[in-house]
Amino acid sequence: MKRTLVILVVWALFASAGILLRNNYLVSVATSAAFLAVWGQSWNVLGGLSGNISLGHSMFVAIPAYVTILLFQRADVSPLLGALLGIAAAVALAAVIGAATLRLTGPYFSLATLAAGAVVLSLILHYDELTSGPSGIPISFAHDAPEKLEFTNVRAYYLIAITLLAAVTIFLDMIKRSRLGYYIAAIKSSEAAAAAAGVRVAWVKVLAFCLSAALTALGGVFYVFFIGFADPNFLAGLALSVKIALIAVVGGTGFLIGPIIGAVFYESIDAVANAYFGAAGGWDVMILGLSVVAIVMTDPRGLCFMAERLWQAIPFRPKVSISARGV
Amino acid sequence: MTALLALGGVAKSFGAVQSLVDVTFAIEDHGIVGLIGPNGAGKSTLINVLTGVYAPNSGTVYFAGRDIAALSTADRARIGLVRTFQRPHPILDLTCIEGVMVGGLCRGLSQAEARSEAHEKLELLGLANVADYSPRKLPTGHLKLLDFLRVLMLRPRLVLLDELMAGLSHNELEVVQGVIEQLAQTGITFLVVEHLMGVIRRLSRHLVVMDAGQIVTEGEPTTVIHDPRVVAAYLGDDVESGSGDGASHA
Repeated sequence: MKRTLVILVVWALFASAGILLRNNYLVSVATSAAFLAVWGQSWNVLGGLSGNISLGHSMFVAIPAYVTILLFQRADVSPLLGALLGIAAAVALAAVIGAATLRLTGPYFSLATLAAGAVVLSLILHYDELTSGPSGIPISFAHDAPEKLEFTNVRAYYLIAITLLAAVTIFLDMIKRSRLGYYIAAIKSSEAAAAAAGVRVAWVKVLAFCLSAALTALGGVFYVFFIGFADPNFLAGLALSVKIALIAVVGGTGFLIGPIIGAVFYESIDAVANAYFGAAGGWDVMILGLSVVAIVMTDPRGLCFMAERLWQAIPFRPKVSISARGV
Repeated sequence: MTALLALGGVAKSFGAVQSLVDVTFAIEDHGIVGLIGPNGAGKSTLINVLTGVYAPNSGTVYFAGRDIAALSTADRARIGLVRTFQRPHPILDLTCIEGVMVGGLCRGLSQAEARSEAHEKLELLGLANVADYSPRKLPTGHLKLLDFLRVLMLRPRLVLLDELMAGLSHNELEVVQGVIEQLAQTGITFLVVEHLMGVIRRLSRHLVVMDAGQIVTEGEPTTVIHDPRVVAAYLGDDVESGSGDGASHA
C-alpha cells in the first residue's frame, strides 16, 4: 500500500513537470524513456522474477502495433478495439512460443526467443502487400481524436506513457506478492525444488511469459501512435529486444524501480551522446556501450544495487521505511 | 491391505549405466522405513523415479493404489508423494517463511492461512526466529529443514527424505528425529535414505537395503544390518558369494 502511494505521488510530480515543461524535445525524450521503462517492467515479469532471459520482446511491441494500425487503416476498426486484438495476438504468440520453449532453460530459451523475434521481423518485411514491408506505415493526423489515440500535443503521449508505467509498476509489485509471484520466485531458484513443492513449473512459466507479453503489447500500441510511424526494423528489430532486456538488467532486476532507472539512464546518455557526438559517426553508440560496460564491471547487478551500496556506506544515514527493493 | 507405495520391476539406465536393475518392493501405510546402500546403489535414482523426475525404462509405480506413471512431479507432490533433496534448495528471493508457504499455497491455502501454518511449522523445528530472514544468510542445516517444512505444508502421505539429516548439528538432529517420529504417529509415512546408521537404527521399524540397482534384502533393522549380504554390499563381494551378480558392472 505504502509503495503504491509513493508511486502515485511520483507519478503526479512527473505529470505536472511534463505539463509545465516548455521544451517539446525534452518531453519527447522523457516519453521514449517512459515507454522503454514500461517494456523493461513488463520484461521483468519473466526475466527478472523467473530468470528466463527473453531476447525477442520486440515482437510483442511490433505485433500489437501492426495489428492496430492495419485494422484501423485497412478495415476502419477503432484503434481501441484493434489494440485489444493486437494484445490478444501477442499473448497467443507468447503462449505458443512459451509452451514450445520454456521447457528449455538458460541460453536455450534466450536463443529460441531471439529466433522467434527474427522470424516475426522477416514475416513483416516479407508480406509487404499487407505490411508495406521495409518502408513502414506512416500514421498522419492533423487534429486531436482521443478515440483514435491521436493527439497533436506530445504531452498527451507523455501522460499516457507515465500512467502506463505507474500502472505496470504497481501491477508488478502486486504480482511479486501474489501466489503467482511466490511460484515464480521458487522456479527462479530451483525448478526441481519448485516442482517438488507442488508448483506446476511449465504452466507457471508460460503464464508469466504471457503476462509479460500482454504488458509489453499494451505499451507497443500507444508507442506507435506517439512515434507516428510503424518502422518494422525498429519495432520488431533485435536492437529493441536487446535494449528492453539491457535496461532491466542495467537498472537492477531485484528492484521495483530497476527498469525505470535503467531506461532513464539509457535514454539520457543516448540523447546527450547523440547531441554532442552524433555527427562524428558512431561515437555516440560507443559512449553508450562503454557506459553500460562500466556499470556492469562496477556491479553486475545493476545501478540500483550500486546506489544501495553507496547509501549503506554513509555513516549516519537516516532510516528509510519504504523499501524500493521488491524483495 | 494395499500398500501405500508399490514398485514392480522398475528399471532405469543412463546410456550403458544401469542405475536401477529390477526394483520391486512395497511400503505399507504408516511408519518409518529406512533405505540404505553404498554410494551408487541407486537410492537417489529411485527417489527421482518415484517423484517423476526420471521416467523408468520399465516397471510400474503405484501410489495409494493408483498408477502414477503419467503424473508430473508437481502433481505427485499434490497427491501426497513428496521428497527432499541431498543439497538444500532455498528460494533465494523469498524470506524463509514465504519459502515454506509455497507448499501450502500449492495445497490451495490462502496466503494468510499458509503464513500462519508455516509459522507453526517453523516453531515446531525451532526456526520461528528466522522466519523473516533471507535464506541467503542461513547455514546449510537450516536450509535443509526449510525444504523439509515446505513439502510438509502439502500434507503429504509419503515423504522421501534423501539424506535430510547429513550435515545437521547434534541439536537439529535430535529435534528433527523427534518431529519425524511425531509426524509418523499422525499417519505420515517416511522413507528415510541415510548414511547415518544411528538415525536409521533409531527411526526405522523396517529397513530396505539396495546395492547395484537392486533390493538386496529387507526386514527388521537389526537383523538386516547383520545379514551377510548387506555386509558384502558394504565391504565388497569377497566376503560372501552368491548375491554379488548385479554388482559386477557397477
